[in-house]
Amino acid sequence: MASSSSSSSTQVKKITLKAADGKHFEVEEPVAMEMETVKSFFVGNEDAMKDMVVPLLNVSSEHMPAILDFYRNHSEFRKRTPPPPAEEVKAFNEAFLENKSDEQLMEMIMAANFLNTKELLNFLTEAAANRIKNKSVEYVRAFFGIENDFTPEEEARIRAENEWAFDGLDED
Amino acid sequence: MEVIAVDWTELPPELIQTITERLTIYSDYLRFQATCRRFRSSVPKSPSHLPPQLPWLMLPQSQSHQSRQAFFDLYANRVHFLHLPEASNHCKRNCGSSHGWLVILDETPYVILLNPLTRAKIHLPPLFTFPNVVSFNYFEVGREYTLSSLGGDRFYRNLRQMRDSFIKKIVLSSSPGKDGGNFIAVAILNQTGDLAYCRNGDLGWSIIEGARSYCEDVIYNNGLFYAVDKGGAVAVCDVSGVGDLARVSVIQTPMQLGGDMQYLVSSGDELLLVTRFLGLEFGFEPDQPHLIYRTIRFEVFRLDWNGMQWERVRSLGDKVLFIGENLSLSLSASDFPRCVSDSIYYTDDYSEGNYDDVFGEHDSGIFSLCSGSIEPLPCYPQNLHCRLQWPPPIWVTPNPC
Repeated sequence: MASSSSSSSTQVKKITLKAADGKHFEVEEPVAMEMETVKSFFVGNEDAMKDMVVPLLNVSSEHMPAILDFYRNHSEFRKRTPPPPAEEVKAFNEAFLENKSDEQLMEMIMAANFLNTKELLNFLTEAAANRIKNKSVEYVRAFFGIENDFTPEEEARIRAENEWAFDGLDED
Repeated sequence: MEVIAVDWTELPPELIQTITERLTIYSDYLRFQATCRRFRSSVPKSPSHLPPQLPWLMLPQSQSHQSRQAFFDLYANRVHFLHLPEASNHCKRNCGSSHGWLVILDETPYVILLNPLTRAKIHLPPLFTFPNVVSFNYFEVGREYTLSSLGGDRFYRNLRQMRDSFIKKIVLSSSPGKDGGNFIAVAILNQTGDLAYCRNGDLGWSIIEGARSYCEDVIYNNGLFYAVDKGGAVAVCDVSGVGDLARVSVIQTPMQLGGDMQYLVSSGDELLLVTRFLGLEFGFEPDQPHLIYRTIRFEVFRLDWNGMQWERVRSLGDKVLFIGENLSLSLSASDFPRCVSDSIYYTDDYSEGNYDDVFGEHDSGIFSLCSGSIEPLPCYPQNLHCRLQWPPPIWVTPNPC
């Protein structure tokens, strides 16, 4: 007769991820598998799962907890029946972005891109787009931390093509 | 904790593109392109991902800016001036606006499509190619056009009459700059209540037989033109078959009574009928008391496809409708800041025929469906002078292609 006392069979497998700065994170397997980059690491190599440490070269440990939190919550949202009300998802997403600087947001976009997870990447890129809506060119440059490398003549020509789009915007 | 510096000036091109694809407003896209060389070269010059844009209100011509045309942008809450000599002329009439392209008539037989953003221009077949125009002769001054009535009688029209009253409105199936320019145009003719159509590249206009009197409004949706008559009956016209005659079927709804003008709007999966009620007002201009029409309210109905009847709609929810001389438009207010949901933004598309005699401003505003109240459009120039009245304002969607 099967015993229900075996706790080891119901225990969720954990996978160890190593952030770029060397810090280790123990993550439940289904959460780790949200990341295509981690998933592909194990393709054809399933037995090795327990012992191996997956190096995540482009992800800072600063952002790992928030990113893992996003995966855990969103996979729970997806599985839940009936689906969660839109307000609940919206509230989580807004709280996720709160207090994140533009710089942190961009770093997380780079991380999501490296981890190859569409849902997180879509969410973060949309957040970035929202932050530059109805803003001046100077603001957008500061947002991305980029330099203006157009010659004055080039820039004047670009602006003249659609002069209407460049006046009277939010500088801050 | 060690902080690793991520250099996102080295943002991969595909990420730059992903971010720009989340930009939904064309002006935001243009500014993104103007930041630096790398960003500019990473994204398409003309975006193809943009959803329908919030229309601008093309304002009447002012005498101080002869070649510059003013447009009010509800999103940015300001007026843009575009260098647009093609449209900026007191002899021109806007006779429709679809997918960002204006239909312009002047005191010539030419029917011109103009994209005010790109200044791209396309000719539709000229006025003398309509089947009910028998002949055209520049030298018959004052009676340049000879027309034929339904009964076969001949009558004459001059250049200005043809510009102002021959065509009520022209709508396009799609933007001439998209899908290889495979668009179809449909014109509502005032004289006979006929609908006429042409495909891009046709040499002349053809009458859609069987759709006469469905001349209140026309829209295009999913391969078909829908035209409505005074009583709310809808003619569904398929003019896509090359070489074929137009196929017309009629949705005979119970007669809608009341209302002065009917508009059709395609909104999500629904076909809406918008009924406009006008009231007569007594205007007190110094020296010249006069009567003017003014919109007092709207009613909205949705087509019940099973029962083939119009059902009253009490709320548009998040939707906002734009009607007038333009191809009617429905958008989600939540996509655009400063846009009031459950409202109808309307312009004057009936009094232009006698613009010489009309005083005061045009009949335009924002009608709230839930409260029944009317607010003025935020941009409407105050203290209008008569010289600012022509041409009447029209909604036009900024569209780069």
